[in-house]
Amino acid sequence: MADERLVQQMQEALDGTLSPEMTEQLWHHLDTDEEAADQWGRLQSIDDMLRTAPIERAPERIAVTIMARLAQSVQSQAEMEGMPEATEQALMLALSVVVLVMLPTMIAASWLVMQGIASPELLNQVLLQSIALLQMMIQALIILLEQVEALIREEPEMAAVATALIPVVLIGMLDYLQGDDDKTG
Amino acid sequence: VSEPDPTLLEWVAAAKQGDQDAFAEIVYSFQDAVFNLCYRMLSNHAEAEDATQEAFLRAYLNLKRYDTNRSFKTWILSIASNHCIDRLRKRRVTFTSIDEPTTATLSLSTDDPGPEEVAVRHERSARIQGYLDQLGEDDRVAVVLRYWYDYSYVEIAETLDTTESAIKSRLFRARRALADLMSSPMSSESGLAGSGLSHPSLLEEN
Repeated sequence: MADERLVQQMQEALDGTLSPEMTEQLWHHLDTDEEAADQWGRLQSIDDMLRTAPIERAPERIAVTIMARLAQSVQSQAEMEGMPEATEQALMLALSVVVLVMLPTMIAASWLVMQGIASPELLNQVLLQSIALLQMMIQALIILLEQVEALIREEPEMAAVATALIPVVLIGMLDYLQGDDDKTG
Repeated sequence: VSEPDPTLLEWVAAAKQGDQDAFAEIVYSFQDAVFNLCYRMLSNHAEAEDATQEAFLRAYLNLKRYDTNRSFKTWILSIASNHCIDRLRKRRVTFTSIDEPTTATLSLSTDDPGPEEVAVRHERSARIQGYLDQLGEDDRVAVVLRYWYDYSYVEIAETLDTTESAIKSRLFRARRALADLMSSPMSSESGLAGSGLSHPSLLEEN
């Protein structure tokens, strides 16, 4: 095995970074040292093989795939970030109003359930009515939120307005139900 | 590192403003360079394709960080190199034996080589890939950048964000190990492709 310093010189010679004097000394050494010459031959072979190695070319469709992935990524990013700050704040406010309007209804439903615990018949009636009411409200909310979601993509400002109208719809629904109860009761 | 091409700089400036057509031009210009690096690093066409896509996506999302005084090629190869190194490290941690065996496919060339030349090229490519597979990821990327991209020690160091002396040492170690592998009986009898064996000297850390 050729010594470390010599192998390093060989490597530098391969990279063309060995000084001319050192290169001369290396050639002289290789002429007289068979083992070093063998090492040099092997290093030179691997160097030659790597220097002439073929390039693997990209598949033709790769650019199209990259651009499609990019467009998708940009679109989803835009959906996440595209809303103006004022619209975002208006939406948050509108959603808070929705929660505020729903809160008394939920509390009232809970209160009715608590009152009904004493009588199984009353409890059953209250539960059925509360569930029907909540189901109706949830269904209406899902439809309204889907509309708002569609609006966010097209007209973010209108989405805030639409969200703000949800409480009005909910109050209208409650009034309607109350009217029904009055007629039946 | 060569001066950035003015047309390329225009594309970069436009892409920074969100012009995807300009970025497509960049992709067309560097797709072969990036894919070749990914393939030589990962030894698997499907994975190299995925890594190439990922490298370009990362480049697009980080275009604002690109310093136009640097070579764009060096920058994109740096992104691809780091991504491939990460993949290799994860692959090693997960389970090395599930790696697809080396299958160097035919290089598409506009020169349209004859079947015999294609076969010879295929065999050479697979043989070289078999040797490369025996190197650790840090040494492998240095060899790939040195030989396929003709990068100097300084350019490789810049691409991999390390020192020139570290690159010199990685290259010397890798080349010496490859020379030993080339003359080993295993290399001549059965070939190295997909053997999954690593030369002991290649397991040393920097």
